[in-house]
Amino acid sequence: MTFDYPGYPLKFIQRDWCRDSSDHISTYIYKFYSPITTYHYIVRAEYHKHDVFAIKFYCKKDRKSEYKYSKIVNRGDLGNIIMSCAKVIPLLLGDYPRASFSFAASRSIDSSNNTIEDAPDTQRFRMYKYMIPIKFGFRTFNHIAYDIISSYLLHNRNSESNQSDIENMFKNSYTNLYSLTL
Amino acid sequence: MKKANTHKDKLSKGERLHWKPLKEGITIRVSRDAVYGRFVSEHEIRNRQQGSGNSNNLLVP
Repeated sequence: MTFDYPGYPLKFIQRDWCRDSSDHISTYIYKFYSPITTYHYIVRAEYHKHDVFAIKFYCKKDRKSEYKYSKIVNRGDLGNIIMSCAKVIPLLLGDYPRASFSFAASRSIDSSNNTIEDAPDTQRFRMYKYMIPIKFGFRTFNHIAYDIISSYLLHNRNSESNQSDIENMFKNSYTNLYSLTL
Repeated sequence: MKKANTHKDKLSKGERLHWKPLKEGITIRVSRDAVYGRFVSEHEIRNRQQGSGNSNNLLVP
């Protein structure tokens, strides 16, 4: 099986600074358009202490929903949408060559009957686990998969922070990763 | 005559996969110690790339 989608061009929107006292420093916001789904998508790259980004995306039409990261758009074009989001990584590496990148794959919600997917090994996570090793090599990153919380870390081999520093930062910053509330 | 399988007859994804109701399933507690990472080896990454014919088309090497 191949994963050879070109993705769409990303447009940089803005950098938002995080003013609270957390380890979240700022967020780089990008958008792109899928002519197949006819929707715009927003990509957020949240920059944290230890030079690590958390990459998130959602369909712009769902921006006001508290479940925007979990909604299923169901109009196809998944390969190009995922590739468009992945393109943010080489862009950011240009400015942050020692940065690491993390992905928390959301649990899907079926809004037709108000049900939610189980937290470990979500369908989005299975997609990321398949795609990330195909598009990102081992020379720049160590790859670490966290099945129980459906998360994936690309730990930069030149990072000044070790893996446990990054894990502890996320454990302390995102307690909901462990209680797994949305 | 066999009834056509219309969209209406098809169960939704949540029903088919026995997902939990949103109100009950939204919070699941996981002990911090239960969260540990699995290192994906170079061998596994190389195999995946070769299997997909994508080893020369990486976003980041």
